[in-house]
Amino acid sequence: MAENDYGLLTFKSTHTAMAAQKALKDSVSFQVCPVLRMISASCGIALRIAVKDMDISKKLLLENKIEENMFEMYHIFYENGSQNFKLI
Amino acid sequence: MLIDAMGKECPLPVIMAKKQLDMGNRSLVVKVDNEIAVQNLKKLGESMGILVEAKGENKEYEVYFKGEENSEKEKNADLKNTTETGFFIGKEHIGDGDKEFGMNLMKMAIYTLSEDERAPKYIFFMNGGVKLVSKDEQQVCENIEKMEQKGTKVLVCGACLNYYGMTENLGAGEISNMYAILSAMEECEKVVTL
Repeated sequence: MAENDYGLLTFKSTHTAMAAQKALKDSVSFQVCPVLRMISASCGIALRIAVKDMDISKKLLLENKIEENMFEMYHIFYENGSQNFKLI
Repeated sequence: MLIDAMGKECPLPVIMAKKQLDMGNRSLVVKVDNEIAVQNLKKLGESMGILVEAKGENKEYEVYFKGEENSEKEKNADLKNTTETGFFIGKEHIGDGDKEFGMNLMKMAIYTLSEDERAPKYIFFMNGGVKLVSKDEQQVCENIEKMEQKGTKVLVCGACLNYYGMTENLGAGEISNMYAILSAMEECEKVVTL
């Protein structure tokens, strides 16, 4: 796991994305960003988190009634100098 | 080399001087007829790491640019990786509609700009936009600092900070004024309003 890796949360809808921000706000540090184009061509709000916060973020989302089918978690990493992703 | 900018209104003297400096002419004398032009030419020199001296009074001034090789600022100038675009941010949200959603859009836009290899030449914050660079806005401040390291100049309107009681709470960027902001806009190939 390298320094430039990060976790990315994407959501079924922008409304869910905004609800997720409220769920994570006090516990997890995140940045609001667009969904990476290599993951999806459509525009959406994604949340960028530290890799170490991926587990707790999933827990907080579920605790706050954001269902598992409403979001996806990706691990974004660099391989041979280019960016790649893995669905968790 | 002598530049006669007498009778030319700000920001023309700055533009004329900058053109020569960018071409590599480091020893310039600019003749201007007002104090503000003198101040702005001094700021131009400072920003490029060039020693500036001004002489004169009463509507006739001569501003001397004395080229200095290998100054710290010039070294940093070579490391700049910016475009020729300025971005104007006058509010906390993008577009009209739901404000919270609009604020998300604005933060995402600033994030996206900061992730690009080349950062903007300038970002201007005025009116409600200055709230985005408060110390409380961690994401925005981090993104802005990242762009400043690439050479972006981030100018935040001082009067606006004052109006919103934020002068002590500026988290990123530098306090600026209407003159500097408007003349900086003229330096950009284009200015985009978000």
